Amino acid sequence: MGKLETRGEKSFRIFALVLLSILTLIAILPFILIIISSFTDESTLVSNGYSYFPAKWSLDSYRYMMQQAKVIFRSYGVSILVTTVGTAMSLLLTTSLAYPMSRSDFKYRNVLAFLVFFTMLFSGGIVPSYIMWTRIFHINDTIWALIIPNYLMNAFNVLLVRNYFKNNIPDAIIESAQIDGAGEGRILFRIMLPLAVPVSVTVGLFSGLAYWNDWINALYYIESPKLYGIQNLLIRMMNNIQFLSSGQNAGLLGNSIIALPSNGIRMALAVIGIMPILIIFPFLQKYLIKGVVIGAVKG
Amino acid sequence: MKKGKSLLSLFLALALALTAFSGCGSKSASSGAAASGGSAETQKVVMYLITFNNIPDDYSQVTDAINKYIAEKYPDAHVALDLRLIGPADYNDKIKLAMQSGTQMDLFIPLDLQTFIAQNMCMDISSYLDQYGQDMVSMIKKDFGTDGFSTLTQNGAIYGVPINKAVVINPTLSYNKEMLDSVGVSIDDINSIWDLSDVYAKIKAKYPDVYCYAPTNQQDTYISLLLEGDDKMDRLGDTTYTGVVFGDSGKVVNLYETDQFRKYVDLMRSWYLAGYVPQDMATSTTTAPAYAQSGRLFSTYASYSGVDKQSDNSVLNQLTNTDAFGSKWISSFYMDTMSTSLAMCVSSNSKVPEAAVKLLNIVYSDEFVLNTILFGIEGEDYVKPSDHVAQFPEGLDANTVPYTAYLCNGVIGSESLQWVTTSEEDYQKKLQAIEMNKSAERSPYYGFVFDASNVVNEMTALTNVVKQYYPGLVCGSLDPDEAIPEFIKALKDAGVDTVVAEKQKQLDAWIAANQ
Amino acid sequence: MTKSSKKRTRNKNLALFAMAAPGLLYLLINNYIPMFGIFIAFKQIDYAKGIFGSDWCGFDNFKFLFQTKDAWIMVRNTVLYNLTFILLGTIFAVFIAILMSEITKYFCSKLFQAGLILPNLVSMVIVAYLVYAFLNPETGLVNNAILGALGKDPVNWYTTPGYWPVILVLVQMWKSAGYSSIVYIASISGIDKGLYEAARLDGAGKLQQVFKITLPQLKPTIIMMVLMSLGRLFSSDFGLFYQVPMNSGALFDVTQTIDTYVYRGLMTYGNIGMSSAAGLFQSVIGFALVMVANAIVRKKEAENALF
Repeated sequence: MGKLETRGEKSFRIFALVLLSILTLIAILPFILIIISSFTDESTLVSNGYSYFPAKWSLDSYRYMMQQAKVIFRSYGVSILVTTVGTAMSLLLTTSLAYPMSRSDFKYRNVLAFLVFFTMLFSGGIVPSYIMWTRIFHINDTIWALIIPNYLMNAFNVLLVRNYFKNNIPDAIIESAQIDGAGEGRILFRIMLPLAVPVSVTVGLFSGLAYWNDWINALYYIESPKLYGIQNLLIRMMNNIQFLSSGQNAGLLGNSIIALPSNGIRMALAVIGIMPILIIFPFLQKYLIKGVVIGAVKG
Repeated sequence: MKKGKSLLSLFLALALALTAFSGCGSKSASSGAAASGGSAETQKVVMYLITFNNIPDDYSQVTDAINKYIAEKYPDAHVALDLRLIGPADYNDKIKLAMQSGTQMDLFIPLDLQTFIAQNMCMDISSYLDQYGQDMVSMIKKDFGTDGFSTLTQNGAIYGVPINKAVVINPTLSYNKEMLDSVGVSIDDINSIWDLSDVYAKIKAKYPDVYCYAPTNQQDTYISLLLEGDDKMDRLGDTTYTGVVFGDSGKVVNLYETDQFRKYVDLMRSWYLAGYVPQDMATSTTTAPAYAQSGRLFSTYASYSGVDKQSDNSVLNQLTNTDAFGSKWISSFYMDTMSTSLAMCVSSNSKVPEAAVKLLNIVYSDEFVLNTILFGIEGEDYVKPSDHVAQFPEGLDANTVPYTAYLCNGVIGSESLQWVTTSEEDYQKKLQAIEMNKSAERSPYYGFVFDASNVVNEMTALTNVVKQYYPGLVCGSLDPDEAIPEFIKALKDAGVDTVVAEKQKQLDAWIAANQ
Repeated sequence: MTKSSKKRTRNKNLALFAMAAPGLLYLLINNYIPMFGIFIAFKQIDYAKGIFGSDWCGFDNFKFLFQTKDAWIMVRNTVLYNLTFILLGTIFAVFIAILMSEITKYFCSKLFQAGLILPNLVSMVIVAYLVYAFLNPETGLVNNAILGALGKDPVNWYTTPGYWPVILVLVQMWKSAGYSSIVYIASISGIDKGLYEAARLDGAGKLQQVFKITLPQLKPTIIMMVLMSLGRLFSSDFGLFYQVPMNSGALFDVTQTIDTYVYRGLMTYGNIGMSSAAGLFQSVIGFALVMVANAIVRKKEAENALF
């Protein structure tokens, strides 16, 4: 299967490399500024603003964070647990709903699609959800409050998978499996999913990121600090710091103001929130790229 | 598929870990509630308290100690406290959600008193106060004056109990003493905001990199404080300032059309053009403390409680860890209709209002209960070097001690009973500050409460218009000659005249009823 | 024959329903049951009576949206920005996806992927500070480093509305292009490679392959994404329009969207009835738009309609 590349194809490839390098640079430059600012001395930040070449470096922001190291690591643990379990369950739910919707010989497929899509637009708001989850299901202050509401399955992912099943996997494959006497479950797990690795990985990625970045569920449903995820913890810390160091709330605080390097800390909080993803991502990419390759071969 | 099997076992392992986790999520304070007496009559009162300290994972030992004490000392009350500490990030959301969803919440502190009362979130406790709340009522009338409950009273109904603290907060100038000396000006020469421009000119000449003034509150130069203190403006219970009264004129006007507003805006504009203030004040989130910490601030002003008219110390010194700043009052305090806006209320759908008021009475009148809430358990969380001082035990601080809520001193109970963290002398000063409540100058309309329900749509439109123009105008970055006419037109389009008329109507009725 | 094939059909339908059941159950519990809360938009909420006992007030809660001269501005802003985001966003995402699919065999594609997703992970609050780091009048990188070097005067960015549509679009593209491209990358990777082989044998160059194969194969995905975005045409990213402009009043004419207006207006005086009404308004319009668009798509290419 030798593939001779034409000159046109080769130059397109080089063009892609160059352009993507530039785009990636643009994408990450601001983030580098965040990292540098988290290591910048606070008064320099205030006087000179954020800079790629700060006049004075400092570890103060991280030193402040280290005081809370135990709490931070514990909330990492909570986030990791919630993200892995949630994503796994979410993938299962999403694909098993998307599959029937993708079958062109299933006469209710459009009804399902409408039902799914409708939820993307209409929502009753936080109050009825809160009432239902806490009064009927009693999940408040448990770890399930971080997993079940909102993120366990969403319409966008379902439609994405349905779309992929419908357009990228030929009906012929399903038909031949049916002739072989395979049941629907078998078809989904043994045939569709292996062929749909790219979209599964995509949905897994979207779902995982959504869980990792969520702080709202914890804000509403969790009281015990033991169950704070990392983003929730960071937002609370930042809010607290802003409250304490701004001086405008002296009335509430009985004239206390606490001196904290709030600008630097804010950047350090952002770094702490994103770092784990950056560390784990290369390992996950193995599957993403592999999925892309498998998709190519099976085609 | 081998891979499928291993994935499945991984998933099962994780699910197992999850079930282990679901065990340890129980509410930390729930155990404390029923501990007292075991009597079937004991009623649990849930108090949502906003705290600015760290929230411990489990503080049931504190609630248990409180309830044990209550059961012994007040056996006839049959009440127990279920304390919930909530941080400022989600306090507002949590109390609203509790009310909307029917979760039990009996006592809370509305962060926006007038709105909460208008939406019926606070229960009328006047009858309960007569029966069970006499200790706190008399304490407040003693420390504040007979009008202590006026801002919480509407048509005979009383909607909460004010936090008993020094309400008198004076607009205080904090200034860098050394810089002032070096330009040959004495603080005695500065008595009001109008004296500052000349001083700023001198400071700017000598210290070009320093900001003569930076705001304490983001995007705001606090001219509202000066309008109140110097010009005797009463906001009539509304943060948009679209309907205010000056002095005792009884006439409601749109602040933004008045000369008083214009004169302050012109002053700020002159400061802006002369470079005395940060050029991005109207949009920046950097405030005076940050500039002070980097040594680039000469002065700022804000309102603080305290008895010292003039002092070599300043609240800002707590931030810079120096004693570079001194302070002096530059205006006076004017008690207007929004002054006592911190109160503890009973939620309107509480099922145990009597128990709530009884418990609140105990919190206000019993030194042990109040200070246990603030400081925790003696020996573990604090030590008491003297009668009114509580400090962290040796080697511990606010982050490492098992329990502390000492920063809640401004939002609960009576400051006259609270212990301080510094010294006996500071405690005495606090008492003096509270004394000042009685003699503070009150607006003739103190006690008037504005009910915005007829003009809610106009208020929302006005809020947006005000947010559009106010920061730029008071921070000096907009040209008043152009911007103010635009602003006034936008306000009129949004219905400011309707709001002013409505306020006038309500004010006239209140004046007639309170002659 | 027909009887057993009917039975087979019924069995198949049952099996498929059984598979869909867990997901549908979740949708029912998580999304449909709480929808009863929509009634809050029509009630005058009085907390003493609770949300169930409060009085009905018809459409009163919706009035504040229209009783302002800003109504036109906020709707115009919301819609125009969203249309721009849909158009530019799709072009960018597809473009990046095509490029990324070219270089999958190189190691650096992993780095590019990670780097391109990174902006999406940064919260809008931090993004606001980053933009501020570039644009603040005194110490901003643009005014100091760039404009200074070019010999131009510093611009007071936060009080000049004219630049902000461009700034906000750029920020949104920076934040979401990489993330959105993932969907298209996955779709492209599912395209039958045989199509490209055949085209190549026919002598088609790279660009032709892209236009004749890749794009048409992506059409269903693109249509689906656009239809879904239309449903949210009247909603906006709050962080982008409130925090990035630092809540600057001078910029309201170009940064005020329905969501920011509702937030600002209701912060003090509003009640949940009004905010619920605003949300319902946005949903209903979005829904109507999608229904219309979907009907149009169905007429032209039935396969690609959402439902």
